[in-house]
Amino acid sequence: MNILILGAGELGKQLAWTLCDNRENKVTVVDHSAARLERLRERLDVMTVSGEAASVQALKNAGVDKAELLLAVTGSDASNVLACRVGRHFGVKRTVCRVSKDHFFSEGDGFSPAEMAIDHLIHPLNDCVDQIIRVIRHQCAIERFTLPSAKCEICAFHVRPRSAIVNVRLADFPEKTLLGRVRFSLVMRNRRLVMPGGEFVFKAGDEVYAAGTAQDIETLLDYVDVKIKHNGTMIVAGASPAARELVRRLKTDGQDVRVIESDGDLAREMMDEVGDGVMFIQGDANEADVLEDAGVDKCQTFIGALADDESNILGCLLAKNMGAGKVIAVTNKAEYVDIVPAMNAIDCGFSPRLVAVNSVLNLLSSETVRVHALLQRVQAYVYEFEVEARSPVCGKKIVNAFPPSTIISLLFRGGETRPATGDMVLEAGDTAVVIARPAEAARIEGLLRRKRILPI
Amino acid sequence: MNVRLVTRAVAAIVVVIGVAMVTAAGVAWGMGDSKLAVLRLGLCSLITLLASSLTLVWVRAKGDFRFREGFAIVALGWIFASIFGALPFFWAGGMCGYDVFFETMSGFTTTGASVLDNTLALRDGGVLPRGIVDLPFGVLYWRSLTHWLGGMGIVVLSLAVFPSLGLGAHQLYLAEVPGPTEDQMTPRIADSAKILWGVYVLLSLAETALLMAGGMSLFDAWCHTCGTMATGGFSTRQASVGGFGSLYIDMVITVFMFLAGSNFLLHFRALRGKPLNYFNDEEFKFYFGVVVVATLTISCSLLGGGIVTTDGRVIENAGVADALRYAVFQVVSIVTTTGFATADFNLWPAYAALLLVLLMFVGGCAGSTGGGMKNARVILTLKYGVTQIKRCFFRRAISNVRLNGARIPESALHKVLAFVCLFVGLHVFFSLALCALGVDDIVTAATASIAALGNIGPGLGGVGATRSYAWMTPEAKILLSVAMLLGRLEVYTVLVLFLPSFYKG
Repeated sequence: MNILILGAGELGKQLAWTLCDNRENKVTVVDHSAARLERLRERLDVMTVSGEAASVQALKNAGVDKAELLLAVTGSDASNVLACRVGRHFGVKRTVCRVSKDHFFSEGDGFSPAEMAIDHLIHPLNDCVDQIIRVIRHQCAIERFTLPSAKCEICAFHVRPRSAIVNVRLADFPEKTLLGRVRFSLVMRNRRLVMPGGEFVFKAGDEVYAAGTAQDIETLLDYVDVKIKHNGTMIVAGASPAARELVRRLKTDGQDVRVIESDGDLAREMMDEVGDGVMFIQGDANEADVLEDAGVDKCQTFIGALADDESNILGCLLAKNMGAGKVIAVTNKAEYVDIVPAMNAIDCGFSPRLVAVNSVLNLLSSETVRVHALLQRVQAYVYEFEVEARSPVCGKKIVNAFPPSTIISLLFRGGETRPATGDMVLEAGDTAVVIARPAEAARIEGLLRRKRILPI
Repeated sequence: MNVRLVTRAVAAIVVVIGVAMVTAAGVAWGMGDSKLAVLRLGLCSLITLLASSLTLVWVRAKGDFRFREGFAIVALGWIFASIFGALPFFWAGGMCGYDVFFETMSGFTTTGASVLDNTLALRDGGVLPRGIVDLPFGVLYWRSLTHWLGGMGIVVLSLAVFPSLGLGAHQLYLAEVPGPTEDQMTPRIADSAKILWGVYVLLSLAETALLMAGGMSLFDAWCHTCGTMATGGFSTRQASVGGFGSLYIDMVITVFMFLAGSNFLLHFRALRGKPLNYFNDEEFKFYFGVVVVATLTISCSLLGGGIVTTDGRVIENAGVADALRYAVFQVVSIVTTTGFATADFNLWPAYAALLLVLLMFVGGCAGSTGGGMKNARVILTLKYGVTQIKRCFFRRAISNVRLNGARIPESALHKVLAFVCLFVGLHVFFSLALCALGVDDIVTAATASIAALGNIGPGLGGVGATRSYAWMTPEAKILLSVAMLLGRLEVYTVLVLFLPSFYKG
């Protein structure tokens, strides 16, 4: 597929990396900074064109007339929206537009993204805030993904020392009904992947990936979570666009929210935006005095959502040290997305960039494979594979069908969701949800695809 | 450095060489060479294919690909291609070890300098009484084919055949495709490689057909096409193209040499229906201008004098037609760094001979199969010189050197200037080293050095158009082989191998 990526920022770069993994894709990247493009091309087999994203000439140079997919992911909303319109003029089949605010469109007035030839509008900030909101209720939750096909979820949770499942054997799981319905797919213990079998014993500090229906996952999290004595306060550091959206949502949910921001003007601006009922504290979120004033020692959750990544990471470490219940860091740089999960003191890390990559990945699916999400803790993707009637694995037990390192989480069969255990027999039409790294995924796809004797 | 990855990539390149070698055995059989020669050629290709494919099967690689690996793959790929490519000369041609390495390196780098004549001492102590013509057809075909493979680049060919090399494709491509500037045609380098080879194959077929129409046999036509399209210069006759004595053949080869010396991207665009794009290209206009001016002035200097053709005919008191015919062939042959000859330009007036030597430095265009410093670099160096002169009184002027309307950043300009310095410096070094190694004539040493470094082939004096390199000492031959590789891979790729820091980390 010919893919045109506009913007070589953090998101554009990550998309180029991810899309280049597939040899079928031919990627061209447009950016105004020649130096940025040069660095990108040192490592990737892509074509680069330097120019403004929405300029007709730059798009023509980049071969827009041959592009099937256009990803407008520059930092400027206006350029992204305009570029999609220009792309459609030259015959681009699908357009994806990244925006940071919704203010361009108004469904009520009949002006929808389709008017500007945008097929998919992605809103990384909102999506990222969604992700944060989903894990905020449970102290132990790390990340939660919904698989669109059958209201199923994959969630990661942290086993806290006082949790009910510490030192419990998996086969003796106290909630027997849950055990049959939820699949414990993999566990990160001391930064190493463990595949839990019946003899597996949960330990404090484990990070567990479990899959099941949304309802079962909710029950599971309620069960393994520990209640803490803190008051229900949420502290958000920063007045960045992400922080604003987050505070707005938390306030709507009726939470007690406090905001720390050092720039008084920015704070007032945000105050006007979110309205009454939120306390604002002026000061540097990386200073102990300020955090103490805000009441970090008693708060339930601290979220670092400042504009720069380093302050968020340090602020979170400081808040955790001072006694905050759960700390969440928002980071953007690719490098930090990998190291934040490795810091034990930070409970969760979220990245608008990664969320945006996941949103785009969702849009790209081949005949038999759909890619869902990049799991940050284990650096693997969630794939959905369809089992075709004539594929060699059809009719085999899962243990015999796949290489031993493959993690099959769930099986959808006839509208039902089943946790995939090793002795289940694969049938045609099943959809398997698999956690795998890209190289393994390519091998699995080969297994699932019907063997064709003649290339059609 | 990721040694396993480099090993695998080099093995992949040698597989391509092995497959090409099979065709040499086929040709030997089809042309009626002795059974022994066919058998030996077959075994050569078998050894090459076995060695490389077993390496591919055994060595598993994973991990990352950075600049180091890119340079190592290209440089070692060429060296190993030359080692395996030398087998047919060694075994089926009976030549000595250093001679076969020289001949193969000369072939792959499209230099076209040959050690083959009737004085060359073979391994068994004998000589080839009639020179090149005494070699088996299979070996002659392989000799020309090394040109053809090296012309568009064996790494670029491997990229087209093995897309799995695509990981660091861009580094590999840049390290092999000549020239200071780069226009990417397609998002994937593998596709660009296919396009370049496609155009190359198309032009080669056209030339073969035209040469056959002029009375050449298919074998001769194909071998000369290889020499032309790759701007190589190996011929199947001792007297080079002059041995055919045909004006038509001279002209066809002149035209195709000229095309091979210009940017293949322009040919691609022309084939896509934009034939006028040639004259929108600054480098092409310069290249064309150089050819026209050099041809006219050299013709003038030849008027009224004598011309000795390579097959020994003497034209007394040359007229306009003869002067133009031999001048245009020789100018195009030298500026494109092909090195075919129809006349012994060693005997020409000093002006003509020196101008030809200077043209050797200029070479072909960026993105062509030609050698030398490339026209684009000459243009940029001249323009940079002019801006520096202006800076004498506009002290605060910002450098604004452009090629085809695009501003060339100063970092790129510095790389061009450094290239020119290194190229000239290497020329001086090799000239001196040749003198030290027993070449007892300044003109011969200086022209042999540029003829190897610029991938031309013939020089003046002892290495003139009607002479060969057979008489040189083994050390001098090895030294010139290194010079050819330096010239073909545009200096940097080979020189990094000599930096100690290349092997650390």
